[in-house]
Amino acid sequence: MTKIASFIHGVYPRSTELVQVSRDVLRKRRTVTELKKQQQDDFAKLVQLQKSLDFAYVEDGLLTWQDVFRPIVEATDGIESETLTRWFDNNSFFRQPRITGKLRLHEEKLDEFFPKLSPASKWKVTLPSPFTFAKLTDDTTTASFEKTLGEITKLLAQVVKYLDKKGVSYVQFNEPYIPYTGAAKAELALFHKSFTELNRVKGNLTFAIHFYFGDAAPVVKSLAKTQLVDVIGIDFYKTSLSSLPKKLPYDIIAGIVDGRNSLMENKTALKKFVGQAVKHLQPKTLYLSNNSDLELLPESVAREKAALLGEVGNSFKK
Amino acid sequence: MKHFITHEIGSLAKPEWRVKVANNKPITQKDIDDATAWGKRLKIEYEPLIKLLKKKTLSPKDKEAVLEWASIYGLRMVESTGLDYVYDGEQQRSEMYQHAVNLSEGFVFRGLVRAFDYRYYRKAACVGTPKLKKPWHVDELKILQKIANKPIKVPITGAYTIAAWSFDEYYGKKATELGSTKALAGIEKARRKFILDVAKYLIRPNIKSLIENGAEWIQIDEPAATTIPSEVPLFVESFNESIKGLKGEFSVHICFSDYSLLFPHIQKMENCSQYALEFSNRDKKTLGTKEGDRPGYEVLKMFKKYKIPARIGLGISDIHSDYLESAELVRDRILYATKIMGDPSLINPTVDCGLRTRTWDVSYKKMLATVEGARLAEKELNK
Repeated sequence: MTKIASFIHGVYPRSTELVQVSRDVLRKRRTVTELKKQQQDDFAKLVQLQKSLDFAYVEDGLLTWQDVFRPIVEATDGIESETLTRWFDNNSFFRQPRITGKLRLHEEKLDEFFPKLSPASKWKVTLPSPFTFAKLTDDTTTASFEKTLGEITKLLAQVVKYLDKKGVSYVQFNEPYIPYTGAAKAELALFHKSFTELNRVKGNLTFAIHFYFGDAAPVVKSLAKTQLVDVIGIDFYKTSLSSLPKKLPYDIIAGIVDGRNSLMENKTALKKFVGQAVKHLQPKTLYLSNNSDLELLPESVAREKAALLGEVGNSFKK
Repeated sequence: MKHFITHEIGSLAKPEWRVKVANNKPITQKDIDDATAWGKRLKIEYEPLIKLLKKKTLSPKDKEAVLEWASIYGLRMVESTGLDYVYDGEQQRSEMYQHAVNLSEGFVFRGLVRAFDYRYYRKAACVGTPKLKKPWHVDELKILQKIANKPIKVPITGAYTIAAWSFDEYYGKKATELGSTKALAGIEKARRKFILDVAKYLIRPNIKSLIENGAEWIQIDEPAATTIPSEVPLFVESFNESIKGLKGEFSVHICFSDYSLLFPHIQKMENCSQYALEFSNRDKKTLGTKEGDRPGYEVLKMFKKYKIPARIGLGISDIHSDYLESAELVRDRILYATKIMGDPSLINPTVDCGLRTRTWDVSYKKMLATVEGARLAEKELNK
């Protein structure tokens, strides 16, 4: 019997109010204190929303993150945020990390980016996957991708240890790069190796890898015979269910609401798909979620999509 | 005698007084001082504007007049830098996407989406077949034709970008069956129809109106051209569809993109006289014209390799930074690009992109450096 639950992941959009305050701060019309206050308001509302929808896990929405690498880069010596670069095939941009020396994380600088959530048993955090992080980083210290990936994996392992100490229960690593570009066998081996390394610091945490922005079937097939992590996630706007192996040895995150289109999903169609996914994949738990970060939507639309996830998930509990 | 033709790309920041009048916010003494200072600096007879700004209430006609003053200020500011082709910094437009969508049927705004950091844009959804409510830029063209002292290049947002920056709640609606191969194929077909309909029903009628009203050079802005690499051929098709049957000079502006994805597809672009691209954002700040000195401009070799029959609008100033490029750095960027392209007449120095995120002071200095750098490069080549 598959358990159905829901949650959201990744960067959540800023509210209209937060957008306005942040713009005003940029134009020197408001203060940073006002910005922080609004960020806290957005955070409180987002947490409340997830709790009210009875989500299995609760995230902070990364509301203060300027991109998915920035806080980690800024808390680390030997790596800087550089050129403004397109985030895959979106009208959204990040500052490309550039490694210039030995990496050294200053944990205390991470505190403001990981606000504490309670209960800890439901506290979930989304991080960039080491493979995507390394692929999108300009490493001036080596031409070897393997070495870059090794260094980034060590860095993320320290972040995981830090999160574990803080009481986080569940860490989801978002991996858009492999589904988007595809990966050769040798690169997939490196991807597996980096998670084998991360598993050393896993402890009691639940680890998930979520694949999106492209067809996840090839990489999921490469994971079918081992259990690299606890949960794998799939973007079903880019992956056909029938192309996936049956009975995967993982819990599954099903990306069933589209974080890149405002068109609201049909509830009946979603329920029908959940039934098909349960039958095909037969996971212990099927988490209903967004395919990509919701920040590519206006906040009001994201909220509606989150509510839909909750509604569909909760309908199976009954 | 070598002479580099210089130009800007499009937008400038809007003066606070223009924004406040448009948003019915009170004008402060600082706004008056700003209008006065720039009026003096640009040798504009600005007193009627000050009189307007000091009025307690503004009629709709007054507000239109203030907007026209913003165009005068923007145009004069660009002209004063010495650039060869000018515009008004898009003072009549709210923003390149929002302005276009506001004047089109078939779209509904859904809300604000972040582009990066604290920068956001208002994103609409396509909910029906696009149709023009009224030509987007003819009114502003008429204003500028009356007052411009230099030739004009009109920027217009392109079909691919309008579609890429919009949600699709109409064309792709039937293809939303989750997780099925059939649905994935349906989405591609729907995308093509959406993009080409925007080209046919929005962009082409707009360009036609501009030409009928005397526009000679129209720059189609396509910052999203390479967003989805597999759709670059579709961007090319949409460009051709947009100018089909029309006579004039047409160019394209692309920025913050992986330009290598354009090749070989842009060989099929018809009648595109110039590619204006952002380069300096990815270049070094040190001087030099030797191989390896200018990493931001390496991609120009692909234009040469694929024999693209067009000029390059050479972005030589970073619009996301207040860093002021020296005339010497601009010179070296121009000389390096000239060396690759092999013909100075193929190089048109410009800023990387619209300057709307910079202050007027910084924008002015960046455009001035463009002109000064061009003159230094000419001096070098004419030795």
